[in-house]
Amino acid sequence: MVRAVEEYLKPQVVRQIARLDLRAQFIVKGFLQGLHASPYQGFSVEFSEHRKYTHGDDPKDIDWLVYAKTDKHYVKKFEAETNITGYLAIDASASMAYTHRQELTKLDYSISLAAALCWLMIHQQDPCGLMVFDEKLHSSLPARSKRSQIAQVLSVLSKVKPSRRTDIARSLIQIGAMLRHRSLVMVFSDLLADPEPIRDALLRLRHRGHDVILFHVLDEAEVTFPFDGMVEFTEPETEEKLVVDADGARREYLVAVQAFREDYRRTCFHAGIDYVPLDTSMQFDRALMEYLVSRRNRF
Amino acid sequence: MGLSFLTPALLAGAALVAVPVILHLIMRRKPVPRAFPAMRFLRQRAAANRRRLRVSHLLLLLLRMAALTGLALGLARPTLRGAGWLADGEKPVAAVLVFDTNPRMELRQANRTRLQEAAALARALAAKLPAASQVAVIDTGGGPVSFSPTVAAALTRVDRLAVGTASQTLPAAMQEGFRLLATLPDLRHEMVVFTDCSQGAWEGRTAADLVSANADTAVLWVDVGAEGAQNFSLEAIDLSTDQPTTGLGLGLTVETRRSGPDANRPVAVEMLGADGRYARRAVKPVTWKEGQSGQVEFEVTGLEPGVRQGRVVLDGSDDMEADNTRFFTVEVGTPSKILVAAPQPAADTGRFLLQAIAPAALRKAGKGRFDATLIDIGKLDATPWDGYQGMLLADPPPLPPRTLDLLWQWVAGGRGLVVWLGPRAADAGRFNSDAARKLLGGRIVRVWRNPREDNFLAPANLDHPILGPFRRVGDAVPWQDFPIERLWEFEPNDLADGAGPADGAGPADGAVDSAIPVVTYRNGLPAILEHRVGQGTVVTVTTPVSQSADDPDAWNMLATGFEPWPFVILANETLLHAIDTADDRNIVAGASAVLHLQRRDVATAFVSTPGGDDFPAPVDQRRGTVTVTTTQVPGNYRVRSGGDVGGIVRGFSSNLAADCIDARRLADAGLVAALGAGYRLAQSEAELVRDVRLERVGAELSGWFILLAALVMAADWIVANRFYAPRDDAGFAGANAGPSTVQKAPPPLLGGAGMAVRGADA
Repeated sequence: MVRAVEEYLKPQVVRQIARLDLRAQFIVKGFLQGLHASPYQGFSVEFSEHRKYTHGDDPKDIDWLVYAKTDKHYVKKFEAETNITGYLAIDASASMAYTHRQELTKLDYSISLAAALCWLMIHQQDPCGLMVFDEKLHSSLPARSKRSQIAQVLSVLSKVKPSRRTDIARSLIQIGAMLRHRSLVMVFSDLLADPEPIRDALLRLRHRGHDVILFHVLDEAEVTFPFDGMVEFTEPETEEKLVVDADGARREYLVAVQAFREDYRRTCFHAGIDYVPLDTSMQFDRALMEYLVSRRNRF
Repeated sequence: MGLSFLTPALLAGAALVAVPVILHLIMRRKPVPRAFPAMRFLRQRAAANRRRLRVSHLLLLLLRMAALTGLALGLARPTLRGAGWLADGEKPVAAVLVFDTNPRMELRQANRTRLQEAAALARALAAKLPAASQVAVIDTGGGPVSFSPTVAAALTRVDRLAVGTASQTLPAAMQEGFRLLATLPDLRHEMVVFTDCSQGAWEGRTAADLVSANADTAVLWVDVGAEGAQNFSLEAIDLSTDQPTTGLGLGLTVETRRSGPDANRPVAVEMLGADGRYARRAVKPVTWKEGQSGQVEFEVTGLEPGVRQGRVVLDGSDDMEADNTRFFTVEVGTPSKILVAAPQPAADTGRFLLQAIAPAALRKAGKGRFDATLIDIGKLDATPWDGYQGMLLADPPPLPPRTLDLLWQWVAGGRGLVVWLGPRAADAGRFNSDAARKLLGGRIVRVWRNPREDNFLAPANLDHPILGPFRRVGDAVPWQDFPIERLWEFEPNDLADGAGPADGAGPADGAVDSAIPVVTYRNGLPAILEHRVGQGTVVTVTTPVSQSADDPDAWNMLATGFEPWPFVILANETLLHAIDTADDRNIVAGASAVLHLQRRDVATAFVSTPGGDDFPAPVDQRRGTVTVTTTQVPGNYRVRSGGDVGGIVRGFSSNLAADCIDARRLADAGLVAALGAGYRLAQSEAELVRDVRLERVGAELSGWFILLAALVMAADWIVANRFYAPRDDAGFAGANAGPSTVQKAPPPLLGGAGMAVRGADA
């Protein structure tokens, strides 16, 4: 049974579901099924919507039905209080369109994951918005918790095309400027740009009070460097070429990638940002779990 | 050694090495194009990576070139040989066969002498010679050196080779061969040296330099030496004197050496009688120890006056006859008349010399070697000298020039003079007259004093005949027991001429001859000097023996020390050397013998050889000598002149040199030194044929080269795989290669956004 559930979360399985809405459902249901059977039952989606009455609460909010049953005063919580506003910020640069031998490109993977998160959030009554950026922010949907929001988000996601270049830092700053309320910003990017401005932009987001989950999505080939022999690499965004003896360069490359991820992990840890390193061969549950953990920590 | 190719045309295949170079230049392997967003992580090490890549390419290129070269070389059938580059195995050659024909080549093994063995191998070698080859035969016996008209003629010469006294060494014969080969520059040169690899042939000699200097000539060494031959060898013979006095015995010492196991074999002395036959005079049983040398001593007595010849022979036979006999010649005579002139009182001052050369006991018994007469030196002029063969001057004062001139003429007539200088020469200026310098061959300079008894006679070696008797005791002569306190510093004429006379006097007129130091003192000054004057000899001793032991001014203790036997020997030997006619009575075979006939009225002498042949020899009437050069055959020679009645009879013996009969095998280290490093000896016909083939055709190295090429190819495969390993993601590479990957659109979304929305709504 568990094995069957896991199948739902594998990118190569998800890839076979063409419709994005179904794909999102597929992922989330698989995830939730797995969650019930997992040690993480405390994260049940059956959220408590009552809390004990305390001094200062409006008496009209007392749930008298509960009082009748329990002889205790419980306050009925409002939706706005129990839900978090989440924004899915997706990097649609050219580099995100890359895959070496996986079913999904980084962008596909991010879109699938974002769709699943959107589906999950809406079904929890959490408002969910969408922002797609490359050099600048070019698509956005304000956060809403209506069911119709899923369709709108998925519609935009399905139309996302990779562009040439990216400016992640600038886009993040722009996103931060647009958000008026404290929100959960979930960034999907390969972060293949100058790290310093990106770090600054993330810190600014945090400074404004937003929670940030940074989904660092890399292609499996970018993590394992499976190339051999002489390879002429082309950088998709800049078209820059470099001839490399892949065997000779592998070790140094892997060390550099590891250091790159470690730098981000350390920076995010100090800034209170959840850093989720992913590659396109990984199952989706890890990303979803990160979201739930982040949500719980918030309350 | 050189490298040749049997199919050199295939060497052209080596030009294929250009192929990888061209391919490398014009068809450089294009790297697989890949889109890769994370290129920033590659840029950091790109430069080092590129360098490594370049080295790898170069290594691959070199490996491929080496593989092709190795293959081409292998197919061209390379051969290692000594005959030079691109030689043709069937092309005519110029070959020189060098034979050692020394008597030791008579050594028999398997009923064959070494020379016969060499001839048999030469015949086998001739059969392998390519047609129209030029062949020359050279042997150590000398003779004309030229190429034979045909190979058959050369083989005839080989068959006629006979052992004999060598006129040249083996390296010298090889040198002749190289010169001869140089006359045929168009042919490939080969030299085959037949040697017994014995100590006699190569001890102290080497042909390594010759071989290396003639590297274009293939030198083949053929070892015809005998292993395990059994031989009794009589080596050097030593006579106590070659002019024994009538009535005195003749001492003979023969060196022996055994090759083979211990054995007993007698040695005998035989004297040649008037009938031309040898009569045995003494036999001694000798125990011969394996590989060891020894000595056998004989005392032959009762020799009649005149020239006496004999031989020492080994009883029985062995594997080599040449060293079984040693010959000797002595001239037995009446005691030589000697005039001893000593200062007043002559009986005292000349006593030591007189007793030393003619002891009273022997004189009374009539067995003295010398018949000495003692006179006062002041009466020298008044005494007729003609009847004397020698004269001793004990501590002479400065003599009148006329006396000195007469002495010079007397000595030059073939007599001997021994001068023992002493304190009476006191005034060096007066003593060093031109006549004295002419007579003595030098001048006295000053008196040296060594009162600490640290100066004595110290001969550097015992090679001079005067010191011959001391050779038997060697270092055991107690020279230090006879200190020399004073001595005359004597300066030979050649040194004086160079330095200029101290007294301003010029050198003696025409006196280009000079005294030669024979023995020196410990302080380096000459003690005994020899000066040849005409046919006579003057021996000068620079310290006297004319003073008694109790004389406080005695110059030395030569005659007055404890048991002064060295002085007795010196006194006798200096006198003997001075009066010796210097006849060459015992010579090495092949050397010239000079005999003094003491007569100038005969023009021709007849020489009788050991083989019984007679041949005339011209007499040098000016000197009264006859010189015999045909002495190659060892044995006793007689020289007669002036008829059977009242004529003159002389004689001499010719013995083989030690190296001619030393057949002991040379050690490996010696062979390396003699033949050069890397020499190869053929010891049988099969080995000889192998070496010839190796030199003409060479050792084929194709297999090695092809193996080398294979190894290089394997290395190339490994290296190539290391750099261009087949990728296990070929399918993906094909699908995703190129920039198109970058452009690749996201997976198609079935139903598009609308459907998705609908799905979501549903």
